[in-house]
Amino acid sequence: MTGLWRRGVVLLLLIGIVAAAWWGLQRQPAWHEAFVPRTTVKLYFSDTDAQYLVAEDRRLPARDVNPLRLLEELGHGPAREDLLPTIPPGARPLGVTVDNGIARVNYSLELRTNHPGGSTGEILTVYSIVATLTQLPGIEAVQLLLDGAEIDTLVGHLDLSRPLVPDSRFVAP
Amino acid sequence: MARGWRGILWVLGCLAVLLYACPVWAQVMKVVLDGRAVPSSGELMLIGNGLGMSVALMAEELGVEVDDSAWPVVQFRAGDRVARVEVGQRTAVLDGRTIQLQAAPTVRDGMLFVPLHLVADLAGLRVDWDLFAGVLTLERRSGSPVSADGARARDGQWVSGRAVSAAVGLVSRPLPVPPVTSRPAPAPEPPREPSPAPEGSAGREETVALLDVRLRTVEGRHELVVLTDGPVEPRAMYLPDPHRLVIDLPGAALSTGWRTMPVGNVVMHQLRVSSEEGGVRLVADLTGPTGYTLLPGDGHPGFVVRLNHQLRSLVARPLAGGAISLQAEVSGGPVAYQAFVLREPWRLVVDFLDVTVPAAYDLAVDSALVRSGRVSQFRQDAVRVVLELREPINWPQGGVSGWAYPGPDGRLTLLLDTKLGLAVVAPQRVELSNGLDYVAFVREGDMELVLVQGRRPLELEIRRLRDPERIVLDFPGVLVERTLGPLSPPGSSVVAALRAGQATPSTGRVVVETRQVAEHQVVFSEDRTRAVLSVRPSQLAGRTIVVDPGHGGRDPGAIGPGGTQEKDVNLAIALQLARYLEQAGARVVLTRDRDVYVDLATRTRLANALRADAFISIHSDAIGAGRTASGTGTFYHPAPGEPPDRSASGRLGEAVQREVLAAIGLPDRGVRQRAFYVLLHTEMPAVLVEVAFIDNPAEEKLLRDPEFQRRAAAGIAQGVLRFFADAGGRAPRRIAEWESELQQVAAAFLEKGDIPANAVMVAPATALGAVSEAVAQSQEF
Repeated sequence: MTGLWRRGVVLLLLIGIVAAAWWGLQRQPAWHEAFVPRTTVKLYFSDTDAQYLVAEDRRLPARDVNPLRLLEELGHGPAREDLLPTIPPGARPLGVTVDNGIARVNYSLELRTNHPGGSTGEILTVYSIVATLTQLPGIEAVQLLLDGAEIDTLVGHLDLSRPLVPDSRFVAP
Repeated sequence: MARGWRGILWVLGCLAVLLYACPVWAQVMKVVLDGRAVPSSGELMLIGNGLGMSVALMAEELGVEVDDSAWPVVQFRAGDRVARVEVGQRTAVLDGRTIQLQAAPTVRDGMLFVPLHLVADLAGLRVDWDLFAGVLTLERRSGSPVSADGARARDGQWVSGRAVSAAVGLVSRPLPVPPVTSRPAPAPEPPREPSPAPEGSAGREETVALLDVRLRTVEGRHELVVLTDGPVEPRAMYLPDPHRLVIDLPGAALSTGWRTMPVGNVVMHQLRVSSEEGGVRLVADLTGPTGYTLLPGDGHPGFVVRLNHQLRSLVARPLAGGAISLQAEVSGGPVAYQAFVLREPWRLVVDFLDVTVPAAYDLAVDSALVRSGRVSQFRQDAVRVVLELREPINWPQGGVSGWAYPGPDGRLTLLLDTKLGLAVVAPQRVELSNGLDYVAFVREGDMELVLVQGRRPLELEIRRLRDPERIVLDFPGVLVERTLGPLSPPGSSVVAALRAGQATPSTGRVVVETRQVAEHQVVFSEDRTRAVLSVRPSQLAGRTIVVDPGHGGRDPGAIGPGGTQEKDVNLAIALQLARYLEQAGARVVLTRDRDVYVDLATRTRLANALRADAFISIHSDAIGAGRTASGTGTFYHPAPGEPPDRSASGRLGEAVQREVLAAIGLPDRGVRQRAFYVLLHTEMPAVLVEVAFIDNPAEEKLLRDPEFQRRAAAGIAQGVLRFFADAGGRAPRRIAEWESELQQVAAAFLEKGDIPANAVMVAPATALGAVSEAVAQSQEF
C-alpha cells in the first residue's frame, strides 16, 4: 500500500515536472527558433583596410526578416574575423518606417556621439546601413534620422539631408 | 527501480529549474491595447521590481501629452488628469495629490520609463499582465479620459513635445516598426517637426542668415565684418550705461554656432548675438562711448561696422612763439586730422576723424593768442577742437590735413605753428628696443623688392588690404622714428607707393600700395635683421577662395590615439592655407577662423553668398574600430549636368591631390567622387582634402607638427594655383621656387646688407646719394 502510494506521488511529481518543462520550453524563444523556417540575409561590414564593405551571410528566422532586426544584427558586428563592425558601440536602431521605397531609419544618438569620426569611417557606417536595408524588397533608399530628427550629416561629411541609394563603389567587388 | 525514478526526477528537476531561470519573464512579449496588438519592442522594461513603460509608448499609443521642458521634472497630461514625476524620485504628483511610486522613473538608453501603475492611473487603464504568456493587456475603461480617437487627435501636441525632447536629447520616440511585407496600407507620414535639429533644415531659404562676425583692425581701427548670405538693412544705435552698440538686422535669421564672443580689445569687451522677434540683434559691449560707421561689405553681401577710436583725453598748451600743442590720448591710431581757420570771430578748428569723445568739454587754455577752447563731437565720425583766437593768424587757405601717429606711449601730439601755418605731428619719443634703419625699393627683372633693415631681429606680420590694394607690413616692437612717404618709386610697374610710420605705440608699419592685385613673398636674412618683400602681379587676382576647416567647437571631429582633436589640426592647416592663398593674391574667406561650431549648411551658404571661385575643405580622416589606414585623399562631386569624369571640381581635386602628395609624400588614396555635404551644396568647384589619418599614430604625430601643417598647406595652395593657371592656359608659378629665387636675387642684401646701386630709399626720406653716403660712413657697413 505504502509502495503504491509512493509510486503514485512520484508519478504525479514526474507528470508535474514534465508539464512544467514543456511550459518552460514553450516560453523559450530560442527553442522555438530551432524549428522555424530560416532564410539567409546579407549584413555588410568593413574589410580590415576600410576600403570596402563586405557582405556576411546570416541565417535568420524568416518571420524575423524585417528592417529593425537586420539593423540589430548589424549592430552586433561580424562573425567573420577578417571583418570589422561599422556601427559604433551603444548605437541602437530605434525604428524603421518604409514609405514609397524609402526607409526612414531612426537611430539613437550614440550613432553620432560614439562614432570615431573621419569621412571614411562615416561612409562605412552609413553605407553599411544602406546596403543592408536595401536588400529587402520594397526598400530602395534610406533616410537616416537621429533620435527622431532629420539630420544634415552624421559626423560632418556625408549629406544625409536626403535619402541615400546604395552605392556599389563602396561594396567589395 | 526507486533509484532509477529518483535519477530521472533529478534530471527533470534540473531541466525545469534551468528553463525557468532564464529571464523570460522580464521580457513582455506582446502588448495588447483594447484588443489590438501594438508594437512594443523596447517599450517596456523592469524598473525596480515593477514594470515601466516608455514615454514614447505612452505618447504614441495612449495619447498622453508629455512636457519635458522642465527636465528632470516631466509632466504628463491625459484628458483632465495631470501627473508630474521627477527622474530618480519615488514620489509623484497626480492631480495635485502626492503619491508613492513602486519605482522611480528611470532613463535607460536615452528613453524615460515610468512605472506602469502610474500610467494606468493616469490614462484610466485596466492592466492585465499575464506573466506566463508574456502578454500585457491594457484596456481603456469606459469613460476613460482618452479615447482611441483622442489618442490620434493628440498627435499634433506630441509633435511639439517631441521637438522639445529632441532639444533636451533625453526623451526619444522610436518610430513605429511595421513589418515591411505585411503592411496593409502606408503608415501616416509622421508629421515633420519645424527644425528641432541643431543642423537646422529647410524653410529658412527665404530669410537672410547672419553667418558669423569677424573682428579685424584696419590701420588701427577696429572693425566688425558681419557675414550674411544676402543683403540686409542694418539699424544701429549706441546705448550708454553700459556702453554698447546695438545693431538690428530686420528679417534676418541666426546661423552662428555661438551666442557670445569674448573680444577684450581696447574698444570692445564682447559681442553677443540673439534671435529676436522680427530679426537678429547684434550687441557689442564697448569699453566706452564709441562712434561707428556702417560700410558695405567688401565683396560679400554683409556689411562692416567700423568703430571709432575713443578719445580718452585732450589738452591744449600754448607754446612760446605762437605755437599751440594739442596732446591727445586715443584708443588707437593713426588718426586723420584736418586743421583750418574760420573767421569773424577767428577760430582755429582741428577735426580728428573717426574718433569719439564721451562728452563735450571746455579746454583750460588762456594765452596771448588763444582765448578759450572746446572739444565736442562734431559729427558721428569726427571730434572737433575749436580754439577761439584773440587775433588773426597765418593759416593756409584750404587748411592742413594729415595723419597723426600715436607715440609709443599712446599719445599723439599735434603742433600747430600759427606763424608758419604748419601742423607738425611730433609724437613723444620713447625708445623701443628695435627700430628700422631704412626701407628701400629696387626692381630686379619682373620682381619688385622692398628692402627693410632693422636694428635688431625683426618680427613681421603681413596683411593684405583693399581699396587701394596694399600690403601692410607690421613690425611689433619696432619704432619708426619719422612718418615717411608716401613715395612713388620711379620705374615700378606693380608698386604704386610706399609709406612708413608708427601703427600703434608698439608697432612700426610699412605700407606697400600696389597698382594691381599682387602676390607677395618675404624672406629674411639669417639673423632676421633684414627682410625682403617681393611683389609681382598675381595669378589669383580677383579670385575668391573659401577655405573650410572641418568641424570645430562642440564637434571635435575624429580624435587621434594621442588625444589630438581633428578640429585643431584642420584649423591650423586651413589658416596656413589661407595665408598662402592671400599671399598669392586671392581673396580668402574662412568658414571659421577660430574654434567655433559652424554647421555645414552655414559653411556652404557663406561660400555661395560670396560667389566664391573655389571651395577647399580641410579634414583629417579616421576609421575607428581599433584599426587604421594611411595616406591622403581628395574628394569632389561633379555639379549637376557636368560630365562626371571632366568636372571642374574633379580637375581641382586632381590638381590639389597631385601637389599635396608632392609636398607631404604620404600614400596616395586617390581623387574620388563622394556625396559629401559641402561638395553637394556648393555652387563652385569644391574639394574636400583628407590630409592624413589622425587615428594612425604616425600620421597623428605628423598632423600635430607645424612644419608638416605648413607643407600640407603649401601643397594645397600650389594645387589651387595650378587649377587656376590651367584654366587660364598659363604655367603655374611654384610657391617654393619663388622663395629660393628671391633668396638668390636678394642674396647680397640679405647676407651683407649691400644695397643695389639702383635702389630708391624710402626711409629716411632722402635721396639715395645722401643715404649711400650715410651708409658708407656708418660703422655697421
